[in-house]
Amino acid sequence: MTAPVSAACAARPAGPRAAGIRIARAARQLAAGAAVLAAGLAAGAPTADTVLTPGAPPSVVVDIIGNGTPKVAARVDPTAAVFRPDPALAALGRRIFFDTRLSEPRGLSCAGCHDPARAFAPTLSAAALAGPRVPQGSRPGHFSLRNAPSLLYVRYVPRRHFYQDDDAPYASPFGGLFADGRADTLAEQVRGPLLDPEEMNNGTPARLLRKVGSTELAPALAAQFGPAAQRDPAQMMLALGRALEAYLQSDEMAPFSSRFDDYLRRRAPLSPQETRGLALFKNPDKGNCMSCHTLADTASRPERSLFTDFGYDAIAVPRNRALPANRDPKHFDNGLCDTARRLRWPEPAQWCGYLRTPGLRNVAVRQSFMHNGVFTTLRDAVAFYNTRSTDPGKWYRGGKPFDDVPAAYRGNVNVNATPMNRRAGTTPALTEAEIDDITAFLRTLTDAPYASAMPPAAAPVAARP
Amino acid sequence: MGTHKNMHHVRPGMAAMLAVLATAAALYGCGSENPDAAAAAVPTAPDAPAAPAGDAASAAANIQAAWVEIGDSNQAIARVITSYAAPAAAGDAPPANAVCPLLTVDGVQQRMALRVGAGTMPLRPTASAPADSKPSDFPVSACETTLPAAAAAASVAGRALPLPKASPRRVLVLADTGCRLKKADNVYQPCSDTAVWPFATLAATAAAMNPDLVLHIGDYHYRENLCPPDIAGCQGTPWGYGWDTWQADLFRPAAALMARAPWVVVRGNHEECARAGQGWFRFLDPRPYTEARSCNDPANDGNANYSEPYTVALGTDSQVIVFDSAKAGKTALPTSDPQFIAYQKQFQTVGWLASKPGMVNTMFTNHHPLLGFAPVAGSAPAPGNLALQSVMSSLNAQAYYPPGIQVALHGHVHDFQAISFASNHPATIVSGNGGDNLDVALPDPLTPGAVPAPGTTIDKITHHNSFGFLLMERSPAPATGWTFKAYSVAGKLMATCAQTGTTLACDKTGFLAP
Repeated sequence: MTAPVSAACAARPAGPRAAGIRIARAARQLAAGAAVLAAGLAAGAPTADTVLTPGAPPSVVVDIIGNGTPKVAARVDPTAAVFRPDPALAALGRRIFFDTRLSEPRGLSCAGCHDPARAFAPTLSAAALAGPRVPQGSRPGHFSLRNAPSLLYVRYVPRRHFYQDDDAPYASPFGGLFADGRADTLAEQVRGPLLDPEEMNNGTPARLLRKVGSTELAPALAAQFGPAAQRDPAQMMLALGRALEAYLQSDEMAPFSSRFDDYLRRRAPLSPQETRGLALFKNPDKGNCMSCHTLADTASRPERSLFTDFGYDAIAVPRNRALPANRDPKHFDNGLCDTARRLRWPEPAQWCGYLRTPGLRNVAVRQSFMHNGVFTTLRDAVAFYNTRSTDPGKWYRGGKPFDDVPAAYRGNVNVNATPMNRRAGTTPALTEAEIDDITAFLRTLTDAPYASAMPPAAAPVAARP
Repeated sequence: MGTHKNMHHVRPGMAAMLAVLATAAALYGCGSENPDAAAAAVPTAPDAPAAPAGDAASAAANIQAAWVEIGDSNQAIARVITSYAAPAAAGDAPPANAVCPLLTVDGVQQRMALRVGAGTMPLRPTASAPADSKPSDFPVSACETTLPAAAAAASVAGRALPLPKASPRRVLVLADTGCRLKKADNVYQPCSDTAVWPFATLAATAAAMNPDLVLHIGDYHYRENLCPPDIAGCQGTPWGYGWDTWQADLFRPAAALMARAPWVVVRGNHEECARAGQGWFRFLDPRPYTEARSCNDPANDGNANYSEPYTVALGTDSQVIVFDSAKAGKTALPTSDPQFIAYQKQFQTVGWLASKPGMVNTMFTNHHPLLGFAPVAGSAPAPGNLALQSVMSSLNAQAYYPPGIQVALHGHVHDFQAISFASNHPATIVSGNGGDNLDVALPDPLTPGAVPAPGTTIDKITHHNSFGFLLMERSPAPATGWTFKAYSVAGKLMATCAQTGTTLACDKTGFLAP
């Protein structure tokens, strides 16, 4: 068997099996046979093969889950992706990305939450920093329901699919945009922030069309996509999506210029502490981070080190009580299961609490961490994994574990993966110094233009005996 | 059924006139430069006889691997893999056995018999796409000789072979040891990094424990696909199903352990015909080699993917039943399925083998856990192999196993599990943490109500998911059971479990932190 895959996160792994993975985390019950529908039933359903990342060879589809999610015969290989967006379209997408007229009220662009000075992750407003630690929308007092990711390297996120290693007991979901995978492509994803009342607040495509129509963007879109893009709300949304997608797929959005990339390409040395951190990050008995945040530190191609396997996991970060939606104690962000229901995956509740594993490149420039922004330091984010199970009182109010997952779904939480699998009161897998080491290593993932955006490093820790 | 090998007796030095001089230096399993993790040095027996002088086939440099395995009917079989190609005499092909070295047994030399000669097998359907597959090249010959039961000393090419003990007391158990190179998973384990693929270190640690016998429970071979050119960690490593991958995944890193004790070899799913089955039959399968059971022709897979169970004696009161589950699927089988019919017949044989009079401890071993778990993060663990459970329950209802089996030993899941049942089921141990990427741990405490099969009730479970192996030791009299010790790669004792009948009493329960 293996654990290579997401199974190490849940199944084996990739050894982070893997495995995984063998290859790991996300291997879940999936009565695939019962879920099969004819491929043609759903609009856009994949056929015998399907392309999961741009430019990559088609993936062989071995099954269809629910109303159209392909189960494929091989894991996505990011090095197979080829990004050649039309330069004119990418330039138009860039203009749209920075256009502050596309919100209601005007003033908030995509860049407002994906700050190009912070690796396209949010620079939080004073209100957000004092409050929920997620981006503020176009209206005062309105905040995004989730933290915003960096958009660097988002082009590598594949379309939604399932994969099952031949040793894994079940198939696992991968890919899709947003933390809950509800968008299949970047073009589809842009609808979310543009229309979300807590973000850019345009409400409907028709309202957005009226707004776009009053700008020089309208003829520019029409020039690329035809006149329908100027008069049909759906066509306009599609055009906006395609343009923004082209921008996000441009090489500008995948610089691979971090110190870790120098290490990959030409063995530029890491410091002793960073080197220890890398080893702990990989060690399946210690940090075990690599089982989901995949890397290949002997590979010169940095695409093999995106620090995500694009899989899903339920790690039950603490509830962020500063989120406006969380004032309602019955409100929970259930993540992937909402998508699973819409896509008619079998037993969708098994995916409640699952969120897509984010890449960790440029994580050190973030001002808040995890999907709900609950942590304010990178060190806390690392430390959480280490002592979530051994000292839950440190993380959860009243010491009640998994307080941001409904009681009915707490059985979905990953209690298997090291270091989150130890009993309360036992010794954690990592020492405090080792947490510092991993944190130091994560700082090497910052692309060169953003190095100054990192908070000061903690005092270097001397090598331990 | 047993092997019946011709034993060609040769007078020492007889071949000297025809032979090139033997090369002196020799290491087990080391016929070429080692691009992977350095294998542990093989100990040299102080009293090892010199290589037969002048016999070219016995030159140490030709010998790529040498070991003893225990097969059907407890026969000890000496096996050698040689790169020697006998020169053809004018007009005549050399005798088939001419490539094989001389084996010295209790002072008598005999030429080993050719099991299968060198050759390149045409490309057959494999687990990978044709573009990611290639013909299996075996530029080596496999030779063998069945050793007399009373043999006191045996050597080949100047190296002593380990002989079976009448009553082995220390049995080393490991499984799932290869280095994973698998395109479909986009996983390329850095085979040159002993921290990530620690099998060579593990084998050296295990060899240092001086086992009397080694039980490998399958999945020897994992290097199925080409390492991408940009990954240094696996660069240059062989791939596919030929000799070079077997050498890199098993014979080189395990050399020290193969030199230390005879092996009992169990077939894993990585050794089914569409994967490394060709090498399995050439090198490891204990029965005679035939083309029908070679995995060369996929038309024969329906035969070659299954093997009759057999027993290996552990003294007079214990035995191991070896079962081939290489092709077992993941779901329950309809009774009309040919695989169901084949496995059902074999489990009937298991029942007969387990009923042997005088056995105090009968252990059943196959690759896939039957009453063990497959951990799944964020979910109750998956049960044992449903295909085999469906067959077993057709014969024995929810007892699954026939009467007379006290312990079951498995691999496949890349962790360690020791399960003692409150219900009347054999104690179950999984020891699949031998080097390939690990699985996640089982939940601790175990998910309430989780059972590996309907009708089973777990009393206690001890488990971990660090790299390591297992050592079985015969408990001192008057106890009649065995003690199972779980070790880390570095030799740290992680847990000790004492077996009495079908129960295990471990000194620790739940998850074992490394």
